[in-house]
Amino acid sequence: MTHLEETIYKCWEGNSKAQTELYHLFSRKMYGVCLRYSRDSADAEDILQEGFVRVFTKIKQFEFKGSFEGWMRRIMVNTALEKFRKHDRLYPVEEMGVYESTEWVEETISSITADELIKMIQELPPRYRMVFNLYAIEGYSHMEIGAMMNISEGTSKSNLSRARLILQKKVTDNFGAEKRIEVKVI
Amino acid sequence: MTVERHPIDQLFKDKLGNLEKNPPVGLMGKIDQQIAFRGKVRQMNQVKAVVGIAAAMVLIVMAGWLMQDQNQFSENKVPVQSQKEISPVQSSPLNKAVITSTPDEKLLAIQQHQATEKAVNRASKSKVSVTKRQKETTSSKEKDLLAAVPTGKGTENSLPQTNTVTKEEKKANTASNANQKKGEPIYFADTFNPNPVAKNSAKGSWRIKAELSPMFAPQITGGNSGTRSRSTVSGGMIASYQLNKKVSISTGIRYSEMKQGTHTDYTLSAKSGITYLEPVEKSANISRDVSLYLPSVSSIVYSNGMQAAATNVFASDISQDFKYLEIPVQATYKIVDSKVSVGVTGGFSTNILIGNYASITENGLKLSKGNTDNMRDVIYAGSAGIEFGYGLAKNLMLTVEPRLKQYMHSVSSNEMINFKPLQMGIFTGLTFSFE
Repeated sequence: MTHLEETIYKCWEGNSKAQTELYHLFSRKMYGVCLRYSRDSADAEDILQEGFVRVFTKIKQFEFKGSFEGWMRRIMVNTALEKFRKHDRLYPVEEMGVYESTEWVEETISSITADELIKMIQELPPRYRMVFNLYAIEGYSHMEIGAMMNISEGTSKSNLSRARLILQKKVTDNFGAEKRIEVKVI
Repeated sequence: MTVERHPIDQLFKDKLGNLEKNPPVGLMGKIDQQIAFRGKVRQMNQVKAVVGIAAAMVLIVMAGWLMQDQNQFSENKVPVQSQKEISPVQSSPLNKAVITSTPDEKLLAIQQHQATEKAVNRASKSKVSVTKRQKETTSSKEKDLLAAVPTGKGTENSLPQTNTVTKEEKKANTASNANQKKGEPIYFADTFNPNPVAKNSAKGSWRIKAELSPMFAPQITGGNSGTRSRSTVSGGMIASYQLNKKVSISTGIRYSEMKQGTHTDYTLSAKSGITYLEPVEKSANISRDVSLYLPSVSSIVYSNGMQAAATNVFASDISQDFKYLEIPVQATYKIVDSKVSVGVTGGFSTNILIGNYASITENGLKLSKGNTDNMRDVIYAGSAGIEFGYGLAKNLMLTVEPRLKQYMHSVSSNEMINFKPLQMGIFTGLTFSFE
């Protein structure tokens, strides 16, 4: 039995030392996930807290099939989705405006920090942020996203496309573009 | 074959896919506190469930006990038999006392036996006069009884009794017989009831009641501070069955409502070059996702066709309305039973969601309507009240009942929403008895 498995079994019994150990093992990674799905750090903290409470209260449901980190990450994502359903879905938004599609030079890309990208994602309208995270980073299909968010596959594709355009414009505005290759009017 | 990723997707995946950040200090402490709190809430819910079941069982046991008690009472009254039909072994207090009683009771029984024999002898002597009286009576039972009645003193309250006399009754007789004059007949007749059915007329009767009440609920706690419950109405038809003089059980159908409104003023911010519009024609989809509490709107960028200035303050109102069909099962125990009656009521009800409406109004303009997400289709509630009744006519009663109704679990299936409303109503009703 690995040390992680031993810690998980101790968490089954509600051992607070084991819970603290598990928290220190995964909290940094999970906070990174939560930051992507939230609008600011306070929101991310809420998701992380609720997510860890669920991890500790439902840890007996983990059947040691697949990685524990993946299981935990899914709980965080589901918690974020639930929060989104509760708070943000009331006001879905559609953007109006003109966006430009661009390509960047390698130096531009490498100079962008993770914090700057997180900020861009957090500024996205909630539904776009959810769809973009689920598709581009987690790797879910549009069909899966539609089921998770109770939207159609087409809406998921449309939201992803719009999220990409917004992010593209932000990157261009903040870090400069080498050349314009396309102009889209939405 | 590998699918080419969009450059934006690739950029964010590469930079954020394995992002690690230090969470805020002290978060683990908050997690511990929340786990402990949830454990306590779970325990409290378990205790509530156990107490609820126990209370229900006590009610059932009480109802059963009262029914049994009533039946025994009835049995003691009815079987007054003719002296002619009673065998010497059955009728003789002496024989019973020899078998079952204490020495004192045996002595008393012997005295009573002797007195009874004298009375029976006198009765046979005066049979002619008794026969005349028999003709004047209409009840066959009374005729039988009168056949054994002596014509002297003590005939009004003293009749021969069958083998249903209890020890307590014997003791009571002892006290009353002590005041009898010497030589006067003494009988066990204190439980004689000339009309046993009339005394229990309430038992087994059906009643039907129409009732109506305004319903009030305290302000929701734990949710958004701008959320207020609104008063509603509840009413229906209830049928009740009188188990005995004190206890009745009832069921029926009742309509009830739950309403709440949420108001928030918020400031909008607009990002340069990007504005967002919530299209009114998509309102059906939007409002389907209304949550029980007002969402935080501080970060929403919104223009409603115009670019919003950062200083603009908008007013938002969400109205949520839930309609239920309620099937109650409750018991009533009467404390006072006269022209003005008082009783306590308690029971449970099954509430079936039949209506779920929500609407959003911003700055006085109704933007959308739909329904609230994650509402449970069936929820259970407990209720308790005090019923005051006033007899308007022989079969008609006016009732007023202040009643509390507590939903036993959250109306929403969303784990993050724990909303168990408490409602209070003053039900006014008219009850008709089929007696």
